[in-house]
Amino acid sequence: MIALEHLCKSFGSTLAVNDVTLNIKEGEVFGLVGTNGAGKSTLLRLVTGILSQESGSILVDDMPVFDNPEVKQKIFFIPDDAYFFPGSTSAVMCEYYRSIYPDFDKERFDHLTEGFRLDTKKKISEFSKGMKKQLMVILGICSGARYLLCDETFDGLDPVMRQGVKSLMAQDMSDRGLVPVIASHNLRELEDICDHVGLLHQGGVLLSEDLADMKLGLQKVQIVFNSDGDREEATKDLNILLEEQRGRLYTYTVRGERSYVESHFRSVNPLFFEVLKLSLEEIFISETEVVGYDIRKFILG
Amino acid sequence: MTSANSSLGKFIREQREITARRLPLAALSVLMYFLYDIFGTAMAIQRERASIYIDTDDAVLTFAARGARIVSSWMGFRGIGWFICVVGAILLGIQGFAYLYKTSTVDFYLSRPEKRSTRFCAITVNNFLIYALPSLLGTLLAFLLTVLNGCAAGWLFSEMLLAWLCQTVMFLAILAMSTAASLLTGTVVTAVLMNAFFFGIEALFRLTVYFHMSAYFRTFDDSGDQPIINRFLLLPPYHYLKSITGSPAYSITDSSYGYANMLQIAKDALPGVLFNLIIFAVFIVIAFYLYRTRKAEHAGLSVTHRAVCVFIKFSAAILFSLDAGLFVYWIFGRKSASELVAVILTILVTIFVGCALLETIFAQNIRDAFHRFYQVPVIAVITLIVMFAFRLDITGYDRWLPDASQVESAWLVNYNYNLEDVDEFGSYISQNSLIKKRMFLTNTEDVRELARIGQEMRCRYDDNSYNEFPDDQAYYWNAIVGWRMKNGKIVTRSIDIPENIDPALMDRIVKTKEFQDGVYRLENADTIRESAKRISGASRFNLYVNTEHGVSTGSDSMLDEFLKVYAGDVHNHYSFTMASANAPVGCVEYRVSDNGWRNRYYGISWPVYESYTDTIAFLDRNGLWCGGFITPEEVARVEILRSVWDEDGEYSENLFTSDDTAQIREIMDASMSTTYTSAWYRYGSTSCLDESNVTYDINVYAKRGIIYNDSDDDSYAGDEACFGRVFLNDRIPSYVKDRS
Repeated sequence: MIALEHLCKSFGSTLAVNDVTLNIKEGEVFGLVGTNGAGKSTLLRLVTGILSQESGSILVDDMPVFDNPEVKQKIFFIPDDAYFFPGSTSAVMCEYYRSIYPDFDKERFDHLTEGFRLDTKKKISEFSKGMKKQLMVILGICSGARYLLCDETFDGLDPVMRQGVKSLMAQDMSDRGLVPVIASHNLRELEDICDHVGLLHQGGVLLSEDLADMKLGLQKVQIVFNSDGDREEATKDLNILLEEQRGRLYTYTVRGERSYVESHFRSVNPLFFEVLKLSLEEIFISETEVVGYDIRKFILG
Repeated sequence: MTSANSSLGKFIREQREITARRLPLAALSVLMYFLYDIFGTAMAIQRERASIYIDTDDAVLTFAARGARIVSSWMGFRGIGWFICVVGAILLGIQGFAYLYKTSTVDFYLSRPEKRSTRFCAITVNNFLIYALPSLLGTLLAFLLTVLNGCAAGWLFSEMLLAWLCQTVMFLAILAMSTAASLLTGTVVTAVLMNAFFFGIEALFRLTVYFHMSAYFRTFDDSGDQPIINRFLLLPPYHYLKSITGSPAYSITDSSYGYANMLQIAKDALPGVLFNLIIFAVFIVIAFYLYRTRKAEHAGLSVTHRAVCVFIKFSAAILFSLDAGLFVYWIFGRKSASELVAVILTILVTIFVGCALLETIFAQNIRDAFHRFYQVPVIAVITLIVMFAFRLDITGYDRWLPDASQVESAWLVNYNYNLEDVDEFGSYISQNSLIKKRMFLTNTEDVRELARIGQEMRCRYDDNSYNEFPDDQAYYWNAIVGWRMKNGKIVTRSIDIPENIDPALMDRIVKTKEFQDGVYRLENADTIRESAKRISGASRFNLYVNTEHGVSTGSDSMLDEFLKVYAGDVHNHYSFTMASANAPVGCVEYRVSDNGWRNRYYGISWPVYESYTDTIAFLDRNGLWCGGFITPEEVARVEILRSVWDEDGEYSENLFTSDDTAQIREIMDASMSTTYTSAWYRYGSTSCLDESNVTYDINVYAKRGIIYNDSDDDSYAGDEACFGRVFLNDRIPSYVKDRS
């Protein structure tokens, strides 16, 4: 488990990470979301041991990470702007990481690069941005590290590759307990992979919660009432977070169990009623508005 | 065993991995040492082989000996391979940790599962290996090449390895400094500048102080032995070169050079090597600390610590502006009101421009040139205070006199003595060093009084109106007085001893045995012989007796007896009063010659005064005394030369020539010989520089057959030997002046 407690880090007068407390548990995919400059990369660099915190603590499997090779061996960091040796090939990078990570799986690397159609003899400088990201993910997966820290890794991957990468992670999660930590400013990207999401804004954590819990407690429905009286009757006892109207079609985001919410609306015999799937984006909009943030301003721009 | 193998294997893997990322530098190192060690050695041997028929001087030497000698001068202590070390160490120091300058590489390397200390050590070792492996291999191959050419010698192999070792320690010292400098920066450009600062700031500081002392302190002794420029603590090449080139054996370059000399250089190099080891130890600890505490976010910054920026800005701006001001002072040549204004303006402009430039570098943005502008006036005030401290001699440097109770001994050097000697390895040492080594005056109160008068005399320029030169042209003897303080410090002052100095005071100094033993070699003859034998190529040693009547050659065996007699005369008769009133009538020299009777550049000289009757009698008894000054009757003609001094300098003309016996006698009566060196003699002509700025020189031509010469000294060749004379004070004949 990665445990961050009251973590602070500033660059000059800029407070990049402000009193962050987070727990990244085993067996889940942790999504770290936030706008550019929210502190996602800084947080990942702190967890990787590249940066040292000014206050607070970072414990990875109950051990401090900074300048601790034993712990750092459990972590593989894929930065947004990954570095490869000048003029190197995938094979060279593979050899390099093999020398660092004792559990590096060379056979799997060969297999995956073939599967992803990455030419191991071709210079990496000739790779596209997406191919470089794929290579880094493959190197990370094959390193045998338990914690895979990805900074904007899915940015630049096409949908097919994105799915492939997700599958790889899922496989390693079940096989050897890989814990991916994925930082992104794109909520949609994380929606179908993350189990737990932390939302950063201006260095602080706005929210950190299991996605399933969030979804269980929030419902989005579309409904056409027979009359305004029915509408008032159906909504009067509900905790409605958002309400939109298009003609006679109403869309509500409501806090509460699905059965409870559904029974409420169906009790007025609506002309049309449907429970919709909530996107992560909508969950965040709803949740953050509750704590006083208009998330659309900084998530959706 | 397995563990050891595993550790070694890991080490090798790691070093290979790091080297793979630094291939250009590794390749450059290999190339440089191939070119210098192997190609250079081959060329040197080849050149020596080709020149054996041309260089007849050394034809007696075998090619093997000549080859060993040339390889020694290329690959040994005299080689210039140290320069590659210097450049290589700085390049490696900067490049080794350059990955810390970019965020992407910082993330890449700092996320590695390894301790920072491990990485620091690995890179430092790699820096060392990139230098050491090619250079050591090159050295060994160069020796192999020497062996294959039949020029090998045991001492040569030892010298090559010892030289490599000394250079390697120097390399380590520079590397540690360069690494520390580079770790204080966040870009390659500022790393280069920081290296320049690290290696240059102390030298700049010392030279600035030295030149300011030299320019503004009248009594400053700039004869080169000043402690301020006698050591550069933070300059490893200086320690290396000073200890090696300072070795007496370093100057031995001929066939006599061998194992003992090589070993002597190595021994003399030891202090420098040890100092470089200390530098290495200190700076590698500093570098390690900087690396350990360095933050990843320092990547891309110019300088990582604000305090360092402030230190650089203040020190560089103050020193450069002081030097700029001094440069303007030098252009003016003397102090004046307009010069002062120009100096101050120059200092202020330099500070303004320098600070703007430095802030631009620190911020990497020209728009920040005037950032922290409040520091400019602070720097200006400090600089002007320092400049005026020198200019006005606020510390009282020129007035300083030691408390006699704090002085252990003193020495006094009159530049006119023109002494020379060699040290134990035949290297020439300066008159200052010689007298400093030999003279231990204990009558410090008298020396102190002389120093006071001499310092006042020397400062008369600055005390004359607004620092104009004085009108009087009073003659003086330029001298250095040195103090050995009881606390171990050495203090020297340059003084002008006025011609009208109290003779009694001077006699109290000059008549002491300590003074006389300091300036004249009066010790055991064997000691002198030992010195002479150290002169390279010396095989013949002879006494020569010079007077205006000729030169006689005596044998080396006479030296013992001569010294006893001469020392007695010196101790009985030599005094300031005597030496200032009389020129020597001749001199005895102990010269060194080689087999071909060519004089080598060494000769101890003992002036003989008319009052040295025992010496003259001894020389006469041994058939060496040809007589003193030539008499008017022995003169064929005299020639009067006039020198005029004006704003454009000096020019001379032949005023007239006379062969009139009466006129010759009159002129010789009114003049004194300048044939032999006389430290304290009051030369008339100089003090006769009259209001017309005219001086006179006299050339006296001896008649044919007067001059005796049994030596190989061809300066006496021909029938007309010429001797110089000068008029005595106020004795210039009116017809000479009238002709002017």
